[in-house]
Amino acid sequence: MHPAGKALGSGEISARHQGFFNCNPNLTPIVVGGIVRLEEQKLAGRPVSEEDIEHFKKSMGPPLAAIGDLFFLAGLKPLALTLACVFAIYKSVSGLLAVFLLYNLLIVGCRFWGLRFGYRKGWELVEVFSSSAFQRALDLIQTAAALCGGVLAAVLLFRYLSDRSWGSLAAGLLIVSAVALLRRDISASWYAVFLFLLSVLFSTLVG
Amino acid sequence: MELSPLLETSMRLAVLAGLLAVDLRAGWQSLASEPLFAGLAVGLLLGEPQAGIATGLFVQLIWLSMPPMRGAERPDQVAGAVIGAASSCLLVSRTVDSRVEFLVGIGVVLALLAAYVGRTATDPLWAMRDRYLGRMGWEGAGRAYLVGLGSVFLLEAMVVFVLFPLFQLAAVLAEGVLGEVARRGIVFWVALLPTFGVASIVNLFWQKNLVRSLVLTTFVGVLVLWLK
Repeated sequence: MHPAGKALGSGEISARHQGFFNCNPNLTPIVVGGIVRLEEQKLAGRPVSEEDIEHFKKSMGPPLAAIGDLFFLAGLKPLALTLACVFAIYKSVSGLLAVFLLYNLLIVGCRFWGLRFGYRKGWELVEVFSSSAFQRALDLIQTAAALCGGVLAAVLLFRYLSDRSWGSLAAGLLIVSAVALLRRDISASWYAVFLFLLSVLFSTLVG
Repeated sequence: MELSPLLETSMRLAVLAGLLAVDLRAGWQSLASEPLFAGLAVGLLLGEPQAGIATGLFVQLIWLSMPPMRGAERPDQVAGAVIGAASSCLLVSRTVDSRVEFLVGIGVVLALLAAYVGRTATDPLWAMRDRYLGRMGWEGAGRAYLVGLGSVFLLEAMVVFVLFPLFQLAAVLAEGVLGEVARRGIVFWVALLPTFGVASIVNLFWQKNLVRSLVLTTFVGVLVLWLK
């Protein structure tokens, strides 16, 4: 808010907005844009009070944090990571770099867009994020991530399916047991370490 | 004055880990700190990109089911990925064993352990840092931000600088001590690691509407690969 306060010619603005604020970093610019708009209206003598602006900030932060987590951490990030895993399996460094660049371009774009969008909408932001169109966008990104996850699962499963040996049977059992443990919030890391020790022990005993 | 190669490598890895931690905890939040990309960065730094990617890929598949949300308790992913990938890369570059799967397997298991050791060891330090930042108050927000940023870099760099030589020693010992039969067991374990990826994906998209899309593309994907 410091540059905005300076641009509006009021040092008091940035001082007022240094308190606690929790939101997803990719959607924070939307709230910042909205606040700048309201501060501008307040300076222009419109009926906007400091309490109104504080209320706007507090009412937008938590819902946008939840939406941002669903959109970015449960949608876009898994989508990018599953795609990156597919490229890594096929040893494509350029594919990996392309995913990295695209993901970051989307984040930069979203942050710039958010600032302008928040500024344009002001109070109307509340209606935008409770609309069905936004919910559809959220569903779309999560479905795209699931589709991409399916591609990665197919690539990973194919090698077991094409190899008709005891290894395939072990893989099938492992998938079922790992899903069951993950559903009970048991760490996949410890399960993997346990299986590592089991594999070394078993192979040493059996020869 | 000439630094020993291990000390020099530890310092380079510590700086890389510090930068990745800043990106993850206090900065841009790009994908750079994810194990796959951290593994690639370590691989490029140590001249073994394929070993770095392979280690990062397996660790990523295991951790894919742990998105950093809903209060999830995650291990120290930066320390784990950097130490694991570096161990693999150094083993691959120094050993005559041609089975990269075995060497990568050692790197993966060290990554999983380093992530938990790193987190357990630094938890009290993170709590101390948070208390200190809390005492600075909002009046000094700019200074608190800089202190926060610096402490993230220093803490992660310190973890990697201290833990990497120890884990590297463990990797070299394991590589030297394990017999042929145990090596076969580790290669078998590595061959089964992709199953964790499938399990992570199923867990990640465990919702009625998403599971349908997941199953459909998996089926179509397997069919396409089969026909190919």
